[in-house]
Amino acid sequence: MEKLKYERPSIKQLNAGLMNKFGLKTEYNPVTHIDGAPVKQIIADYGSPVFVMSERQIRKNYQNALRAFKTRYPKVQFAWSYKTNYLSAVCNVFHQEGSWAEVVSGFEYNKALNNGVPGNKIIFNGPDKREEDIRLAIENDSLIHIDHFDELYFLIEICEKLDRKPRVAIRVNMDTGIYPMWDRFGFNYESGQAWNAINKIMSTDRLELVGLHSHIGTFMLSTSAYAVAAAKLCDLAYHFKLKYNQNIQYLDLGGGFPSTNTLKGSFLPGADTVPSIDEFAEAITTTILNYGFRQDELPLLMLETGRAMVDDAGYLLGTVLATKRLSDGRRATIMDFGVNLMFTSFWYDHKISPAQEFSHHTEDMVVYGPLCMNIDVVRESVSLPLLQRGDNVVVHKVGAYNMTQWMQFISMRPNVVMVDMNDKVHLIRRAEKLEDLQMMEVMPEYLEKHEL
Amino acid sequence: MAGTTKTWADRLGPGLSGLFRSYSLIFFSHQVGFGILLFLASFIEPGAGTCGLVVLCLTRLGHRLFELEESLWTSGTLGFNAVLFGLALGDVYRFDLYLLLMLFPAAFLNLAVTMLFKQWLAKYQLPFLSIPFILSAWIFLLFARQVGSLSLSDHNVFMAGAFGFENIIAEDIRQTEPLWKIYLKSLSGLFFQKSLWTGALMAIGLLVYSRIAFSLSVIGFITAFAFYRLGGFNESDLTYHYTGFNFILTAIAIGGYFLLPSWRSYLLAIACIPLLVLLHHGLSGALQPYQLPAYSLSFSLVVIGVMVMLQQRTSFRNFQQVIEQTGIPEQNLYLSVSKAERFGKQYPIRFQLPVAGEWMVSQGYNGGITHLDRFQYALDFIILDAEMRSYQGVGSRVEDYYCYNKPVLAPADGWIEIAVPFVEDNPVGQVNREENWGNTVVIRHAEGVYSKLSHLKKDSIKVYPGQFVRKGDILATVGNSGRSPEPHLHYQIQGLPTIGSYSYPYPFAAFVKKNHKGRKLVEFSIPEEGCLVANPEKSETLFQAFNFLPGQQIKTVLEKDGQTEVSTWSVFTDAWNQLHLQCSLTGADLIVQHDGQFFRCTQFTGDKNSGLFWFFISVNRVLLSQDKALIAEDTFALNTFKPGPLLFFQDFLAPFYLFLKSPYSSNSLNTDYGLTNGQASLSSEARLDAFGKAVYRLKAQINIKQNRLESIQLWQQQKPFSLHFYWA
Repeated sequence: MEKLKYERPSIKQLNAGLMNKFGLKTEYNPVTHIDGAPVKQIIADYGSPVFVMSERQIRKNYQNALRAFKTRYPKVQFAWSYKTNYLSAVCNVFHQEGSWAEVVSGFEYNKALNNGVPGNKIIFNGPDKREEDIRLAIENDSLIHIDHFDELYFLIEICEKLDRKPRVAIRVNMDTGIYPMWDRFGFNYESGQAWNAINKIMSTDRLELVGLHSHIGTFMLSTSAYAVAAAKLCDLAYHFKLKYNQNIQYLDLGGGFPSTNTLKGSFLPGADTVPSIDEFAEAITTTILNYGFRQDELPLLMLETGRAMVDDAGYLLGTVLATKRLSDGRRATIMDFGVNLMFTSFWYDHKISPAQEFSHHTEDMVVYGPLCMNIDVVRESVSLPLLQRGDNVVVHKVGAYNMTQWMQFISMRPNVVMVDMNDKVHLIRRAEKLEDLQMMEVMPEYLEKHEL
Repeated sequence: MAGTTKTWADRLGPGLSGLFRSYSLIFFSHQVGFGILLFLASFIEPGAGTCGLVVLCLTRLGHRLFELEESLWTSGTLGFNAVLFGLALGDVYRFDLYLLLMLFPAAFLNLAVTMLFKQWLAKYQLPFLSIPFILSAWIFLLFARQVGSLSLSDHNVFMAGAFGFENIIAEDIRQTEPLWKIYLKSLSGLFFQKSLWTGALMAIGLLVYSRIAFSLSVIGFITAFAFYRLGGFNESDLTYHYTGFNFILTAIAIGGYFLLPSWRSYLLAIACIPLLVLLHHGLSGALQPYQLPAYSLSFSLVVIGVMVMLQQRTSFRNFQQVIEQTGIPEQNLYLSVSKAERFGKQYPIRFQLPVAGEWMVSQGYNGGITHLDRFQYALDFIILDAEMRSYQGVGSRVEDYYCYNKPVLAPADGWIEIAVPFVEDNPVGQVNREENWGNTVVIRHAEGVYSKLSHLKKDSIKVYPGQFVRKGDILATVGNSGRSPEPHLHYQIQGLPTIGSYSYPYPFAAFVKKNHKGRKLVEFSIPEEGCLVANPEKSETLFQAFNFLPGQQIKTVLEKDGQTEVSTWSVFTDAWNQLHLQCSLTGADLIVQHDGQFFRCTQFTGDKNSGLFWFFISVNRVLLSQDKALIAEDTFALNTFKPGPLLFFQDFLAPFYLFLKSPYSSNSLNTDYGLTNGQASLSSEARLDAFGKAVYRLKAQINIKQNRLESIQLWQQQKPFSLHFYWA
């Protein structure tokens, strides 16, 4: 018989609380494997903390989303939102599945090119497009989504110089009945600004208007907002057809579909509250199909879904550095990962699972990160087994935004690995080293020496 | 080959080409070159040859005088009996002024008889063959004997007439000549000559004209010879007195010309030989009292008799009649094989899957659950996820099922016949046997071709009876009504509009089949149970690039072997609404089809060095979808490429075995759905395979820019050349 594992003693106030139908179950299922790869082995090989991406989950998410739209609407194209996770290996999984690239800066644009995405399959979004970026996008025949009038005029200016006619779309913002209304990007629909922009584009023969784009918000919990957005884009496309006798080739509904993470302050877990991709697909496609376009003139439906595609494909494996008791008696657990790696812990209550077996005893605790900063709190209050120094944990659903918004602050960024379809583990981004950071620094000569 | 004939004819003009075809048509050939050879051969006996030419010219005169249909002359239809008649007269009588005078009425007699038989037999779709000549010749012979003023030709004086007294001479010739000499003489006998040279010329001409016709002529002759020997008949009859050619002509006519050459047609030709012997000698005997020769009467009667029997067949399994007569047995065969391969499996209505995206056939034809007996030809469709589950969550609600509430599309154009929208959707696991089919739409695509889509969601039907729907229009959404324990779509083709009619099999025109090996294009097939299927995605760019519009003029430049050839192609439609591309430079003509899903070349005629020919070879068939996994396959007729020595041998064997194959394939070089920037590239390959090994290869890359054909880069046996397009 295996020796029973030692668990530190704990004292817990008996607090039955209000009666609820879930009872007092505190069992934690340890997560020992990600897909088929053992957590302990990954940590042994790649250190702790370490991000793990599941290729299987990415492909599954993509295929689910594609199926949801394609079985409802004849022409659908996804474009991978680079800012959500632009690790090249992750991007290429999407590109292998057929996804285009959606970028919002010159850096991301070049990253997409480096990943082998043909220029004409890159959508260039965002309010910050520099002259050299725009020139590159025009040369590569990319789809440029215009954000504001200044950009429109600037674009026309460049086109005159280059004598080229790029394919463009305008970003439209609108009231879809949700709060906050995102009106800082693009041209407003209700005020007529969007229609004005369309007419300005059509009055110059420097640009070819091929699409309309909207992105109504992020982590949207209402499907009807998309139906409203789709209807308003259809309106624009329809009136465009009436006035100019040309077809808008695509409607880009942007992203914003939520993942199944639990937002802070929400009563029920995310998995139980967020609408599925199918529900969003139903709202969007039904609106466009019922709008009255001729079957052969139906616009292509473009989607830039990021978070919902990749969030649950990302895991963060970490190790307990210490446990201590705070002055108010609460237990505090210090992990080797914090908000430097998990920016999203500011708005999600990330699920944390132990990576090894425990008894059914649990303790409420605060989970802190390793930073020497007071804000470094991963979970303010969470009930976890009796963790000890050296125990491993798995944080779930960290695939979106963390690997792009992470900070090199106090500690450096760790390894990122990907578990492939055959459960083989590949390193896709190595941990940063001191030399990496030093490489960029320049020392003025007079500061080189000091006597200490 | 058809192309060269055309240019020959064009160069000579209708008068001369008709004249020479009158000679070649005696061997069923439409070739002017062969006609010239036969024309020259006929002059080896100058008197007879001249007579033949005079009668032919007089026939042309009559043809113009009565303003008869021009094609009657240019095809040689009117002339070949005249040639035979003239040659026969020239053989019997000495060519003098008196004969020349008599040729005038004789020629008009022959013309009238020809027209009479043409009109009479044409309505039974039967050929008149050489009957007009035989009748005219008999009348002339009887007339000449009555008046007695025409002098017999030298050898006929010696032989005391070509008929009735053969036994006197026959002894001398008997068993002295080798077989090949008898064969050649038999051939020359067709022109009423006994010269080996005439026969040799004719044999060479026959070989060049058609290997099949040549081999049939030898087979027919040898069979007859064997039969004579076996029966102990007088073999000299074969050469002498114009008997042998009956067997030769019959073998060609039945074995290769009126029937598609095959081992069956060859056997039939051989089986007809004894019948010919019987008929020929029987007729000769019957005609003997009148001292009239039987000529080729037995041939004409046997061939017409066979044709009559073929026309009254109740089924068409054993023999195939030639439908599209090119005049060359090989071409008839190759075209027919190719057409059967290319179009044989096609159905008139091009159905697509009635759904969007990727679905699985959960119950196929004769599926064993409910697709039984009279309803066995039906398909059930559902959607699966990557784990092959049809639902998410627990699957206890219809909404959990992926296919539930998904659009159902019209599989083809048609009129809505019935729309039943009011049956309640069942809870999962329960069935409604009262309203078995649930909510249903029936579409009439043609009389007797109705599609039925069942178990639809309540109140989801968007169409009404009488409405016309186009392929791909949304009809309703998938539900769970009727005899359906879980949401699925039932699809069947039936012969009657009523709900509950019996189903019958009808394939989808094209769909994409997906399995662990990837995606594959499947055509005119019915997906099996368990198959993952989807409709091919349309490419607007390819659709437009191959959408030739009548009235268009396309400037093309062919750069090949250091030479540049500029030509303008005109696009037009003919009376049969076929779309043609015609090359202004060479007159080459290509018929194309564009059905929205495929672009296809159906027929090319003309110069095989023209740019249009290379266009035809490179874009023979194109799937209008930018998905590089999907390969459009096709074949060429074997005579598409320029004939080489391999084809020469293939011609001999063709009726029995085709060792040459000519496959074609094309696919998009990139995968692009929906939005494109007007650019596309296709690659294609045309091959000639001998015993499965490529002996000729033509690769092509087709480049499209701004939704228009820009250029085609070709590699013939790796040697590059190119074709460029310039659009007005």
